[in-house]
Amino acid sequence: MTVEDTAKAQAGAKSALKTLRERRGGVPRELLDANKETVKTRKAVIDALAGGPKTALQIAAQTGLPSQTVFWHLMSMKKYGKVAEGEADGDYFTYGLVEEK
Amino acid sequence: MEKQNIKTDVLIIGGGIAGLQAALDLGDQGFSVLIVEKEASIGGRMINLSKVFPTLDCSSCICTPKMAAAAHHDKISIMTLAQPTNVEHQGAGFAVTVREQPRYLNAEDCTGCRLCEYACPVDLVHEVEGNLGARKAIYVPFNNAIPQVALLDMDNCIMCGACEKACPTHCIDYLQEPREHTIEAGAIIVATGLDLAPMDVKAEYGGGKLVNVLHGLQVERLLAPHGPYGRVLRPSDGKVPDTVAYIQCAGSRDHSIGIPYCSRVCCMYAIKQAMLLSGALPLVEVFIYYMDIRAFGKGFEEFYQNAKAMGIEFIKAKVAQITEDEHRNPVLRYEDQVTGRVEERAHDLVVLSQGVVPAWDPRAVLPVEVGGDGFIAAANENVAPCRTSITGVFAAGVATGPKDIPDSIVQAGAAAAEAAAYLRGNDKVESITTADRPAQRPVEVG
Ligand SMILES: Cc1cc2nc3c(=O)[nH]c(=O)nc-3n(C[C@H](O)[C@H](O)[C@H](O)COP(=O)(O)OP(=O)(O)OC[C@H]3O[C@@H](n4cnc5c(N)ncnc54)[C@H](O)[C@@H]3O)c2cc1C
Repeated sequence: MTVEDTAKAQAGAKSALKTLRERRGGVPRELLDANKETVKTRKAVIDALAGGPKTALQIAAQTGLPSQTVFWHLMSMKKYGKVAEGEADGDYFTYGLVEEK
Repeated sequence: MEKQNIKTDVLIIGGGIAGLQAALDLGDQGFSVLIVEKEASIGGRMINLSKVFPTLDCSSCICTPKMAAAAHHDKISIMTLAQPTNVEHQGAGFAVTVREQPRYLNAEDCTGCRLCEYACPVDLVHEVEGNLGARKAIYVPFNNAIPQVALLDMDNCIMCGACEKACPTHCIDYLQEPREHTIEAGAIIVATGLDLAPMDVKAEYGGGKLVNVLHGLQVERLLAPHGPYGRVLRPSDGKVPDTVAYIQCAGSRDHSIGIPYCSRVCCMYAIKQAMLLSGALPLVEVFIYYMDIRAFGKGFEEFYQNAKAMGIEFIKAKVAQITEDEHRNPVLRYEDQVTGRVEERAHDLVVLSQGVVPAWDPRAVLPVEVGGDGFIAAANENVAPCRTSITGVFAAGVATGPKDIPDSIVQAGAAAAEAAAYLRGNDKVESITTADRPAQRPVEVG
């Protein structure tokens, strides 16, 4: 793709997005709320990992979040390369943050 | 809505292993085939199983070549995210209305690079992973999906534009609309496969609310190499399970939930999973609570005996109730049929062998006869097991009743042969051997 083509495509997408927003009447409230909640939880998990790798149970104890929620976030972050599995601590694996390149 | 007309010799509804096999068998004979698949990828259940009983071959390794063969076949076209909404007789064949949901991108330009997926800020549970793992609002359905093309889940999109910015081919098209196609087909094969009975059918078993009580397809994902956690862990806290229990006939052979029949594959997949768990977790103890074990197929009894020899514990017992302790360990209350005693035992993870139910009730769209169990009834169960009550409409795989992969493949081959004979105008079995067989497909609808 040439530079002009890319610029044209981007401009097209921007106006399409605007039309889409109008059509859907903006982003539905529930979606925004759910997403906000996810971002908040994600941040809590990342903060808890700042001190080094932890198990889902340890993060849950530190943050007060349900361990199921913490574990799901860890698995999502693992899939998308944000955390990596570390050593096992008994029956539980630890997870640590992956340095951003 | 954009409309399009397509002509094909055979329309196959469902792109699981049965639909794919029927398509390949017909395509290889020169018939044109269109597969209509409701999900974003073909492959059905099989592509997401771990290994198959009783050989323990890798399921996706056997399924992927069939998917690729169908996708690359000259005579086979595939439409994903598509479902039939109406079927009418037309001339010698059928006119089928098919609704295709948008992917919100130009599939021809998408390279499946997943940069959009990495850029998307919306985290969601992944249905393909049995809701155990995560996906984004834009995503390639799974590693070996065919087509390897992303789709945007508009219901969960926050319209931030990050995917478009990340896309190197600028293939995102936010304004795509559903499309309606009219398919003119000489014959139809229904291969719509299975679902599992919902986890909340039995209140005694936690009503679907116990986090460490899973169904068989979820455990298939836990055992798969690219599964949601990358290893076998339990969902409540990521613990490596020390004890796992299977409850057989959890949602089968039970009049109270409307599934009185045997689902046929549960005994074998439970035994298979038990073996695979033992392989993956050397210290795990696996218990199978059962009423009777049905190991009727080729190599099945040996498979069962091997499992016992491996130390898998088979407990003849009726599980009355599942509750949860303070560590979210499921606790089984059961009557041991050998000792007659009522016992309680906690496990780290419990798997319910949920009943196999039909994935599609065709009647509102295609009024073929359906049995009391909901599966498509054969025109004659004894001599025409893959013909339906409508001439020219055939059925194969689990759409006609619970069965395993080899049986689904065999029936798909039979349905393809019946459809081919029907299209050649030789629908009477006795006439096939003597009929003049045209070299080319003679039936064109229209
Ligand atoms: C937990 C579990 C483990 C199993 N393990 C094994 C094993 O180890 N070995 C073995 O032999 N068998 C096993 N089986 C059985 C195996 O899954 C089936 O035999 C096989 O999937 C049947 O293939 P099918 O094509 O008939 O159906 P499916 O695999 O269900 O495929 C049907 C396809 O049709 C599509 N579809 C449904 N409705 C529509 C519609 N309205 N329009 C368009 N498309 C539609 C579906 O999306 C799907 O892609 C297992 C089953 C379960 C539940």
